[in-house]
Amino acid sequence: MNNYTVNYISGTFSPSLSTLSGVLIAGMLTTLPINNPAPDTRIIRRNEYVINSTSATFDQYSSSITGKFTGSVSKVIVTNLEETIVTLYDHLRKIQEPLGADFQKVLDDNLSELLARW
Amino acid sequence: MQIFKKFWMTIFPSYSHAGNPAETVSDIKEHLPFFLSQGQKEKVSAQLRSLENLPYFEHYSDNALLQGDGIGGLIFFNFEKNNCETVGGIILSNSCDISEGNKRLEPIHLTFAPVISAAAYKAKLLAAGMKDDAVDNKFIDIRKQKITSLFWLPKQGKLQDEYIALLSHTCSMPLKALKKDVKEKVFTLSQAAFYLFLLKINLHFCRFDENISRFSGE
Repeated sequence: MNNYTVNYISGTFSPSLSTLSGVLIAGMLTTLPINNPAPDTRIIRRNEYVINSTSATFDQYSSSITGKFTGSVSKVIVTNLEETIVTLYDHLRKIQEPLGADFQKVLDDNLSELLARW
Repeated sequence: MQIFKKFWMTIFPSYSHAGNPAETVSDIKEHLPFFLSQGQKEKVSAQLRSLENLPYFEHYSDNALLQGDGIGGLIFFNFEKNNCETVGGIILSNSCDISEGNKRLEPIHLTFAPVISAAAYKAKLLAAGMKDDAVDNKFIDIRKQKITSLFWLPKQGKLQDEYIALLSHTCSMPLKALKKDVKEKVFTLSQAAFYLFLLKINLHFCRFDENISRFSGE
């Protein structure tokens, strides 16, 4: 928390640097797949890959699809949290909706009375 | 060219990792705090998979203000009444940006979202003539964090009632204007709830994948 640093950016402008930046960005645009669709996260939500999906047949080190995990147990657990966050973000993104005009009006009309006074 | 590709992937990961979710997961892994043990990561992961039972708050003895903390004494400008009010709210500013322990040249500003009482809001909705079913269903959605502009705060721990943070009513104030005696936290989010909070902030303010054209077509 105490490792905060501030990057100061010069206010001066360099035409040569601007040109160079344009060339570099053009180079990136021609080599990278920027038009591809967003990643499909469905594959990482398959229950077969969840570490806790154990049964009498498969122990905690095994998957019902691949058998023994090739990586270490700790690696599988660590990956689990990242996958959970990706899945949760995808879920939240799909279900978001506005409050609605009627509900917003009541909120705004009574805002002062509703505000918490901690 | 590899260094430029790396630069591009850092700025635009969602484009760069098209068709490769493993790389997206890998990116998130790089941003998870190093201090979380394997057991803690597994615990947080399990909590996030069951939002209904998510423990939102944790007790921290450290009084340093953190992103996602609930505090009082915040100064909110009410445009409806054209005046300033002292309210409770949830901190949106990055923890390091408001840390008084960090050396800086500019004064610290604290950005926050004001918080309203869920029970009082429900009462106002019913008093306004809205049907019970409609209000109940809306509150189900709010509790499931479905409403983009709201972040629901459950009745848990030190929080004696349900509250709702208004992400569309954000306000900023100099940290020095926050009186010392009100700096005691009303709540601090758990690690899992903090991740949920970050996702909600991201969804409300930073929908990078929304594909809105900013060009006139000329």
